Amino acid sequence: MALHSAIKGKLISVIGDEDTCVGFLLGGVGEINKNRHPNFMVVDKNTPISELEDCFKRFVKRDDIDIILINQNYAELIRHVIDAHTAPIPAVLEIPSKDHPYDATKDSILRRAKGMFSADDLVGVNRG
Amino acid sequence: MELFEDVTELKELMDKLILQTLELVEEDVTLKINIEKLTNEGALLMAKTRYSQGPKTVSVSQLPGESDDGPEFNALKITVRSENDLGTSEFELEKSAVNKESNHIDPINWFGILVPQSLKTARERYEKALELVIESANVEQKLQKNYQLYEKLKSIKVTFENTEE
Repeated sequence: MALHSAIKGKLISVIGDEDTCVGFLLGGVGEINKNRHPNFMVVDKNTPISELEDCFKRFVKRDDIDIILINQNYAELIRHVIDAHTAPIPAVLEIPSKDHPYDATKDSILRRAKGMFSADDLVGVNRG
Repeated sequence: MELFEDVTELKELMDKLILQTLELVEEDVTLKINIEKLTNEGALLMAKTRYSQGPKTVSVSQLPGESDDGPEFNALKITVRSENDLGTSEFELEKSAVNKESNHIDPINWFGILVPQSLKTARERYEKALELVIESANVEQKLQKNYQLYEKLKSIKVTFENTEE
C-alpha cells in the first residue's frame, strides 16, 4: 500500500510532435499550473534545438514532474543533455513517433545497460 | 571491507546482475514496441477524425497554451512514486475523475462538443499506452539500479585483484 495519502502525485510531461502531444493530452496528462506553465511542449521541424534543450532542462528542474516522455528522434537532437542526466528521477522515457520507429540502440538507458557488457571488463589483468 | 569472502562470490553476483539486466532489457523493448503499436493506432484514429471533421479539429491549435486566458487545470493522470526496499522508485498511475471544482477538465472537450467515436477510441489507445509507459518507467528504474550496482561491484573486484597481487 503506497504511502501517498497527503502527497500530491507528480506529473508526466511530454515533449513531442503534434500527434504525440495531442494524443497523450487526450489521455489526460496535460496540466497548466497557476504560473501558466504547461507540462508539455509541441515540437515541429522549425523548433530550434536550444528551445528543446531549455524545455528539457526546465522539466528536469521542476519538482512536480516525475516522468518526461520524449519522442526518440527529438531525444537524438539533445542526446548530450539526456546522457548527462543520470539521476533516476525524473525518469526520461524515449518513445517512438509515427515517422520514426523505435530504435533500441539509441535509447540512453539501454545504451548505459549495454555498457555492462563491454569487452573492457573481460580483458583482465595479465596473470602470466 | 570484507563484504565478500572471495572473489568468486562477487563474480557470481555480477553474473546474476547481468542475466537480470538482459531480462529487463527484453521486457523494456517489448513494452516500447507495444507503446509504439498503440500510439500508431491512436495517431491513425486521430487522422480518421481529421478526415471526417476537418484538418484543424484535432491539432495543436486546439490545445491550451501559455498565453491563453483560459483557466489553469490539473492533470487527470498523475504518477505516484514509492520506494521499495531495494531503494528503487516504483511508479503507479493515479487517475482522477473529471470534476469542475477541482479543476479536472475533460480534454476531449477541446476538440468539440460532439466528438466522433474515432477520437474516443484514439483516447483509449493513448490511455492504454500510458499504462505501458508507467511499466516501462519502472523497468528502466530497475535497469539503472542494476547498472549502478554493477559498477560498484566492478570497482570492488578491481581492489580484490589488486590486493591479490
